[in-house]
Order: sequence, then C-alpha cells, then structure tokens
Amino acid sequence: MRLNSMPRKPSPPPTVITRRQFAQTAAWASATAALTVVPAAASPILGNHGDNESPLDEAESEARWQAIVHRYGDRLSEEQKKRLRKILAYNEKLLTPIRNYPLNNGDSAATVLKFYEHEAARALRRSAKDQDHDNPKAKE
Amino acid sequence: MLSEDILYLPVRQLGERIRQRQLSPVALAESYLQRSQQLGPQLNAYVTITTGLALEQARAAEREISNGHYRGPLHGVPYAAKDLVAVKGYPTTWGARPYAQQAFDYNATVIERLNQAGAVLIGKAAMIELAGGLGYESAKAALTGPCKNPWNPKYWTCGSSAGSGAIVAAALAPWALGSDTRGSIICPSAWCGIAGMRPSFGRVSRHGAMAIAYTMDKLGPMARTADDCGLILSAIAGHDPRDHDSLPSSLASFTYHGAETATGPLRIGRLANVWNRMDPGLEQRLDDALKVLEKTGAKIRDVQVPDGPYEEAAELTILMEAASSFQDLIHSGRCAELDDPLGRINGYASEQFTAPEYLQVQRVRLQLQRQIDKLFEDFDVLTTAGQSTAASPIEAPPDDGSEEPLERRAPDGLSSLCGLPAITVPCGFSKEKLPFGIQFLGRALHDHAVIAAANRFQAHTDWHLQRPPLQGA
Repeated sequence: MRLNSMPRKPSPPPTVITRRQFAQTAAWASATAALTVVPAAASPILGNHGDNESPLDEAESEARWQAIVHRYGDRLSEEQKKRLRKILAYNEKLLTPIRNYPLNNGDSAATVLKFYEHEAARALRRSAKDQDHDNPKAKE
Repeated sequence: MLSEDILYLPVRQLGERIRQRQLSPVALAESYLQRSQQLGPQLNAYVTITTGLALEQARAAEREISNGHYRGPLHGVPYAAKDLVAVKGYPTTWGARPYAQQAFDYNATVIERLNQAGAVLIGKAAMIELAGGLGYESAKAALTGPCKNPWNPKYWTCGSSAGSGAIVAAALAPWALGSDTRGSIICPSAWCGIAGMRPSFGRVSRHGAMAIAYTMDKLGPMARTADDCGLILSAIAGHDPRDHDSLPSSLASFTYHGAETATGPLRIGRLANVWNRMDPGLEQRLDDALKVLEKTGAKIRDVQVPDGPYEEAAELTILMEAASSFQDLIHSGRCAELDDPLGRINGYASEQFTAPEYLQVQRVRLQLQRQIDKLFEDFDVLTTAGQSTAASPIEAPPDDGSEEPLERRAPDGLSSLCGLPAITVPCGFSKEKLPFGIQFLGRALHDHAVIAAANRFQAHTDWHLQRPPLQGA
C-alpha cells in the first residue's frame, strides 16, 4: 500500500513474534527488571512486521470486517469485501509492534508534535534578551 | 520566448536580474506560460494554468519595480503550487474526481505570503489524488493521469507532489510548492533531479491546504537548488494563528541571508541501516558525494538508527488521521469516485481503528521522537539517499504492498513522524540516465543545517545544472 508518497521496496523476511510470545517475554522481563524504552538494534520485545496473524488479531480483524460489511456492505462488491479483509489483516500487523512497545503509565502522547525543550529554552533566552535590549530600564 | 538558459536559472539569479531590471517579469511569466502550455500536457504536469492571474501579477510586479518598490528575491518570479492549496477564483481539486469542481473564496496562507512577496502564480500542479491520503497503488491515481518524468516520460515522477517535480525539472517554472506528509516532497524531488525541502513541522502554515494527517502535514519548496529552497522558505515560513499546529513566532520564522554553508567542520552521520536494499549505482554515487563533502572538511561517520516501529507508527498515524480528515468522503460513499481501487475502500478499514489505538501510536511516537533526537547529539545532519532507487516505470504493476514486509526505518516515515527538516539534491544518474538524490536530515527546527549541508554539496558539484532531454521543447 502507498500512503502519501513513495513506493515501498520488498525487504528480507523479518523476525516474527506473536502477542502471546510477547506476553511471555514481558512477564519474564517484569519479574526481573523494570521495562524501559528499548533502543537496542534488534529487540525481540519490539517484535516485527511479521507474516502471521495471531488468533487474537484474526478475531479482531474479523470483527472489524463484519462492522464494515454491516454498515457499508451494500456499497461494496464481493471483490472489495475480500480486499478489505487483506487490508484489515495488514492493519493488524501494523498495530502489533505498537501494542508490544514497552510504555510506562506516565508516558504521554505526541498528539501534537512539540519542539524540543532545548529549542524552547533557547527561544525563551532570545526573547528575554530582546526584551532587555528593547527596554533596558525594565530590569531596574 | 526567453531562452532555455534563462528559464533554467535558479530563483536567486532570476530575482537578481529582475531587481537590476535586466529581466522583465512579464517576459519571464509569458515564457514560462508558453512552455507550460506546450510541455505541461505532455507530462500531465498541471491541473490548471492560471494565465490571467500570472499576467496580472507579473504586470503588477513590473510596475512596482519600475517605481522603485522592490519586495525581495521572489518579486516577479513565477512559481506553481500543488493543487491542494486554495487559490481564490480558481479550482482546487485536490487531484481527485470528487473535488474536480471545488473552489474556495479565499487564498491559503502560503499563497497570501507569496502574494506579499510579489511572486507570480502560473499554475496549479498535478498531484496524486488526495495526496495519497486514502492510499494508492499506482502512478495513475490522479485526476490528470500519471505524471511523466521529464528525464524519461516512460517513468514516473513519484508522488504525491508529482506535478511540482515535473514542472521544476522541465523548467515550466523555476520552483513549485509541494506538500509532504511522509515523503511527498522528497521522493519526487529525488526522482526528478531537483532540490526539494520538507521544513520542520509547524514552520509553514497549512491554513487553506488540504489536510491528510494533521500532525504530519507540511508544505515546502521544490526548486533548482538548496539555496533557492532557503530563499523560498524564508518567504513562506512564520506563525499563523489559523493553523493550530503553527509554531510560535519566535520558532516559526526563518531568516535566510544567502548561500550559507555550515561554518566549521560539518558533522555528518551516514545512515547505515535505513534501507533494506539500495540500487548499487546509487550506493556508489552516495560514496562519491560524501567524498566531495569530506574534501570540504566535513567529518563523516556511519550511524545506526535504533530499532523501533517508525514506519508502522507513521503509517498508522496517517491512516487514522486521514479517516477523520476524509470522513465526509467515506461516509457519503463518494470515495467510490476515486481513481485508485485501494483509495475507494481503504477509508472503511481505517475507520475501524479505535481511540485507544490512536493514543497508543502517539505515545510510542513520543518515545521514537526522543530516540531519534538523541542521534543529533553527535551530528549536525544525517544523510542517506533521497530514495533507494531511481524512478520506476509508469507501467509498473500495481503495488498493493500488503504482502510486503515493512521497511520500518525508511527515512521518510521516520523523519516525518518526528517532524524533522529534510532536503534532497541531485547527486548523479542511474544507468538509465534517471536522477539520484542525496538527502540531509536535521534536528527539529534546524532547517538551516540541512540547507547549509546541501549548499556545501552543490557548491562543489554540478548535478543540479544538468537538464533533461525534453522532446518538443
């Protein structure tokens, strides 16, 4: 699928980890150490974009497909309905490493991208300097 | 008509000649219009050529400059705008059949800024329908047909700023406005052999521009040189209260004084693990390009991007936000009018994502942003290819993509997810004589750094001076 820009090139088959395997790994990890962000080059916890759907993913994908057919079925050809199954399965694969990514309760969301703190601090310093320059008596 | 030698000049030189009254804005606009009318249809490069507006703006510029009122380097210089920005009095089709008759009674902020700079709009550039917002699988997903690459019309320009790429490469205008949610400026610029810049997220207002993904959409320049990109960005950047995600004035504004090259040793990190596969010829050109930079004093080291679901997060963010942006199209069923078979149904699937899933993606995104930001502690810019190959044939089989493993560290997804500035400039040619690009990525808000690195490269190479062998020019 292309979104927005460019063609994607095939890559070698990645490591596959199911949600169940992840749960086992995470349970072991939490028993031994606190989970933190994993910057490792190839972390099994992060999982990968695998070819196999877990039964849970399959069930979820099927439920979503049913919801689409229930709401929009009369608009869709049989071929489109078939294709939607593939799209939903693909979307599940996209979600897998996101669900598996280790997060702490307090980790917030980048719902709007913010500039980094050092840039903000620099801008504030600049702004304060400008104010001092414009109004030198204000400091007195 | 003015000679091709004039029409292929960069914006800086055109502006300088206009300022010195050696070049008439009217003659320049007329020449680009004539060339656009002649070659534009062959390349499927335009949706609309705005002849009346262009001549009116060019005459106004000529009058003002004659009267001593010179506005700056874009005054009297023509450009084209991707057909997703609103231009009062002209259709704004978003490249898609359901919006073929759409018109707005106001100008997008970016158009207003360019009007203030005295620029001359000569047309609305063709694009992939909805800028690929609902997905697409071939170059044919466009209201105006597949956009043809000026270097070889059997090849595609890439999308979604397809027309903008073709227009600049074929010198139908000296620069064009593009938009980039995940690679839509960088890819067509690389494939068309021009300079293209995606500014930091929030620098350029998107008010009046079609939205795909609110937290990822950017507008930016596509031009002949990195220096031109800097000039243009300085005119279009700035805070706009009508764009909720616009950065505050102190951060949004961008001042550019000239062909800047980085001072002191430039620290460049060569991204060693972002592509699964790269054209071997391109690999060689990148090596050559980095040798050029090394000779100028740049310090270059390989750097690995830490693992993480960058591409998944980028793709999910676009899918989820686009389901909201195009909700009316999806609910009304008018998505069935789109040209692309995938675009007709993809929105139904994207609607099924849940709010917790969206938030989960955004929570992971923040971690990934921090992870990538750390890379810049050791480097001024990161570099890799603009794309991993040269242009693909227009007749390539449809790319459904769902069976392919993701290229999860692909630089477009990664850097778009993090709102980072990037620029690509040409660095050589493939065996088929199609352009390759080298891109530089910078830390968020370090737009100067990527321009400076690309400027330095272009000051020592002449790839950007090559011209495509156009038939019928």
